[in-house]
Amino acid sequence: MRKWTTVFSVYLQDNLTYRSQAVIWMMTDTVPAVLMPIVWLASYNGRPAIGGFTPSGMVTYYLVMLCLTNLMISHVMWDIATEIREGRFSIYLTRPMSYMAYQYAGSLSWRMMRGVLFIPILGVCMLLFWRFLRWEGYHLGWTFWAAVVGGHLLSFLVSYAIGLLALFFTEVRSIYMFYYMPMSFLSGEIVPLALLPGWAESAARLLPFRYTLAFAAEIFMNRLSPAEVTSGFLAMAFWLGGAALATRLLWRFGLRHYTAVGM
Amino acid sequence: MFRYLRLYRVFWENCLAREAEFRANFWANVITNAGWLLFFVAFIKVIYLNTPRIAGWSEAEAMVLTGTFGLVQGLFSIVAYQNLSRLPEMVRLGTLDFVITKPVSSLFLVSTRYVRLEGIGSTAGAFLVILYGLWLAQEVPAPGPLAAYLFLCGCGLLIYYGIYTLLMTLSFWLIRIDNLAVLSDMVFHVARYPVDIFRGWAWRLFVYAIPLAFVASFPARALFGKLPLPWLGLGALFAGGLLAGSILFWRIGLRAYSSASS
Repeated sequence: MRKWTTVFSVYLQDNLTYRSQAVIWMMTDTVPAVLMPIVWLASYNGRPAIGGFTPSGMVTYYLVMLCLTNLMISHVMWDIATEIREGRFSIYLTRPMSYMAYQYAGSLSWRMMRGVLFIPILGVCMLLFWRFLRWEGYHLGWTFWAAVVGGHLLSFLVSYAIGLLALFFTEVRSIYMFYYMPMSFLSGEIVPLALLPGWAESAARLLPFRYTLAFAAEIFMNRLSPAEVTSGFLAMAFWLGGAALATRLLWRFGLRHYTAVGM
Repeated sequence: MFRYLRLYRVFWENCLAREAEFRANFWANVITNAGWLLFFVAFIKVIYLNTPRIAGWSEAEAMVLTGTFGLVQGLFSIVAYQNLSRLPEMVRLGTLDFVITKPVSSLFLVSTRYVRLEGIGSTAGAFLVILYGLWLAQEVPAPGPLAAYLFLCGCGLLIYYGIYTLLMTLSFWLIRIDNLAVLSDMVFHVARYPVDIFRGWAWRLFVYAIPLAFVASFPARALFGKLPLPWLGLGALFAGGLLAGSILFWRIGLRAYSSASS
């Protein structure tokens, strides 16, 4: 545990020197999350609701998703790919903690710093949409928090596994795009899943993306029946297991491929 | 002037030879760009599944808007995007020295040195999206609106270049921020949406202060013959002003350059 906290605080100090960059990265999530409610608000044309979302519900959905993105979504693959490409990855192989633990500590510290910097940004966003904000009996019980933690772990494991693909391929940016593209639709990030065509919504329920983000938001907004919550957690558990297995396999076979550039 | 054209032809030839070396990478980038374009088309489709109009914009008009943004961005990416996005690194590492010691305009060299040929793929794709939008509207643009459209696209390109250069020039002072390009992308993200989704001060902001409306919204409206003529004059004014402003700002920024390596 002590070595873990040491690594964590080193990463935290390292990250703190990049706080202005962190703010800019956060803007990449914030700008679309602010624009989307504006797009929808211009689309009601007098109707009371779109896909079960009132104007107030729509604004709330995107603001909640923005908070959850900051808490949950992991982008470790970029760091992993850089470290593998430049050969710095080798250093970790000789260290007493697993590479995954290092990556998780790094990701968690980055997330914490972002969380703190995010508070004023959220404040501004809430001010922009002030007249639409209403508390409509939203759910903040343990199922919500379980979905947040589970989704965060799933997002980390999936992006870690995709990062390890860099052990096999040298040019991975295109591969990542094919992860981010379906993710933005199927995780509910750009539109609520209920607004997708029926077949896409069903696909989203089967694939892992929904459980990295939208599932928690749907619980928060009371959009799921108890049975749907249960089946959602089962699907999440299935994908957690699958992603963990994938990281192990990729690690084992990937190390045989690794060429340690720069050695 | 003639010297610059000749120089630019050499850049093209040089980059053609470079790309021929990395063909797999070239096609991967073309496919990625085409993927993003499809992504935005799907996005428009999903939104219009749920609503017939966004702030008065029909699906066909929004599709033309998406295509137009892709066109302007694609052309910009062929010529200058990647080059300018390297500026923060050049300032930090001091490699800008190699640029300012050459006997040509430093801004010209920094903006245009490498031609991004894979941008041709996304530009062609964007053109198809525009055609699809026109097909959805069952409309063939008349010569007048078409001319206004092309004129405004030209203005949009210059406005894009001007704003992007202004933002990237900030790297002379903000040396530690290496993701300025990401920030700029976020600014231009606004231009993907119909400007009319904004009301009041926000609308005036994106029309008169940061004229992002001229990048894609106004050209798209012009193509459907829905833009009053005076806007064309204003677009030209903004394009010229931003171009001049960015050149001026570049000169001021260059004075702050301290040449990290020497």
